Amino acid sequence: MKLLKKIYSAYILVVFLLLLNSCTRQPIIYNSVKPTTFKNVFENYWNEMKRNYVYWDIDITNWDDVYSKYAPVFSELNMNNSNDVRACVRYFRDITKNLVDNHYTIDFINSLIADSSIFPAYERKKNLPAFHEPYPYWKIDTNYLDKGYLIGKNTNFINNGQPLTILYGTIQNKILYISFNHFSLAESFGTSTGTSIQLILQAYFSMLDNLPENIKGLIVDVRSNLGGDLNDLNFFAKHFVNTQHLFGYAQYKIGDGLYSFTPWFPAYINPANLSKNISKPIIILADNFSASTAEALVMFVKSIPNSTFIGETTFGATGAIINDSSMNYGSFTISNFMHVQTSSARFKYIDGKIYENEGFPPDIFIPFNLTAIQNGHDIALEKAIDRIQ
Amino acid sequence: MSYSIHGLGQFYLGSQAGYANNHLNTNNALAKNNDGSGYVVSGNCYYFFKKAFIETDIMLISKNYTFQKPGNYNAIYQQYKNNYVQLPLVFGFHAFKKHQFSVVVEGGFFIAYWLQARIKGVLPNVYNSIDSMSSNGRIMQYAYLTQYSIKYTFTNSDNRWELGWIGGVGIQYAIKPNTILLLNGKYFYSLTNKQKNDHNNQIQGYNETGLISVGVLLKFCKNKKTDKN
Repeated sequence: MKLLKKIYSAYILVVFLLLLNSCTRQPIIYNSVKPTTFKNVFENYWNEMKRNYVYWDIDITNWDDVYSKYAPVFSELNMNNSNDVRACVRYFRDITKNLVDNHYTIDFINSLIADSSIFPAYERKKNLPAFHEPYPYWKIDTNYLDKGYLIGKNTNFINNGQPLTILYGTIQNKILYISFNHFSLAESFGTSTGTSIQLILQAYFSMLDNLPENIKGLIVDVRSNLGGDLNDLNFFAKHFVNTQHLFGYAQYKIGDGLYSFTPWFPAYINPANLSKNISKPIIILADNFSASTAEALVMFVKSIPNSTFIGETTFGATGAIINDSSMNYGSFTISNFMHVQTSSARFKYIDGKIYENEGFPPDIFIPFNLTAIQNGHDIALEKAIDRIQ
Repeated sequence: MSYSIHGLGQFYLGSQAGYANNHLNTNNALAKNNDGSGYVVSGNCYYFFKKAFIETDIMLISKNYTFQKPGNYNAIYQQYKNNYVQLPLVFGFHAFKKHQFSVVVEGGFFIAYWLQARIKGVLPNVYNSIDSMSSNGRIMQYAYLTQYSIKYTFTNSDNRWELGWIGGVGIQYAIKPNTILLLNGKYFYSLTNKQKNDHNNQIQGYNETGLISVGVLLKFCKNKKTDKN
């Protein structure tokens, strides 16, 4: 009994002392709705990044070190000093320069710096010797197509200054060819400006569902296709399979913790009603500006037997940008100051590898050759044609 | 023969079980913050004075909560199931007492340790979708909702210790000189954030847990002779 009393007394004392040390809650602090100081801007940004970013486990940027280094720097900046406002772009560029999320961009809302933007992946790539800007290959590839090829455009859907453009036809009556420069295919359906896109896609899908004997192989060209609507992936690829087809795995951020993720969910292509397995050779063409949904399509095609990837390593933006409110994590805005685009989910191919920031490598590497193109030769397409023949 | 609810200076040991309802006080503006249902089981130790008592327990208690998307996305949710081992220390007195029956009012404090957590939920897997054409020729696209259930891995940012205040009321009924039945309602108000306060402006969350439990207490040592012949 005495022992129990002693334990009781000691316990009361310990808990009471602990409570004395923290006898009230700290107020719940909300990120400032409209930050009025650079200290607010930085701390909101730093916290939102900590919550939203999906690559902390593989990123080389130490986010705690960023806080230690830049919190004092931003505290010294004055929101009313235009030089300081402009200087902050430089600091944000330095903070983000090594982030591996190749979808990552910052656009500034503040009027003084609204013409500035940060795109770390692009800034890294443009310093590489093999760098080239996106190229509209369709302008010379019509030379390879049989008479009767179709070009469709929808000027209501612009990406990187280019309207959605589809080129479709046959090559030597043996190869079914299609190219498109971004993914807003399904969105074009049923729109007044999307009639040509719709007709071409319906013709192409109809061919896929009933491939004529004379067609010996397919070429799908997503070179310089910067991606777009991820829903287009299944909309387009469902005509290549007749059963649910696994081509990778996706993982979503579900909590504020740095590594708070769902399990890896299977990434499937679900077949169209009338689709058949395409057993003929499929060649996918991509280059280092094939990004996002275009890379997902490359990986899907590569997961089909009898497929070959020709071209350059892709851009390496393999995660998913999901801008509707179905996700809790991903892109965010610091009110009145900046908008940050970042992935809500990450993707790994069926080989178990995340190709973010690395890019998906081709089976046959054909580098961009501007001189050949200026002379009317598309070497990667020629290689694809040779391979099917 | 008669007996009152308890005499002076007596130890009782017992156990209780019941229902726990938890609310996470936080600033998640993106989702509805729903209370979570759970359980509580405890081993109890009471020391009775003439009109008051001290209670301490060791309890296993769940502090669950759910975030659910509003509007069209209300099928999307995240359910957090958290288990704590908790040591409350409660001071109580008899607000009303008649024969074997007593109404008690309690207050005190507790210390808890976050033992284990699990996150269950549903979200749209955008890499598993289907589409169909609507009557106006537009393409409608749907991502399959996918369930998940994962064991939560604690990080250095998690504050697994919790301290707070307790308030409660209860009914005690002595069915025998050495046996008391209990019906308790308690409210646990945490003072500590579930996340460590290592930088400003971080997301914070405080548990607020109500429970209703029933149980029984048995006298720990021999009763002093109080019966009249």
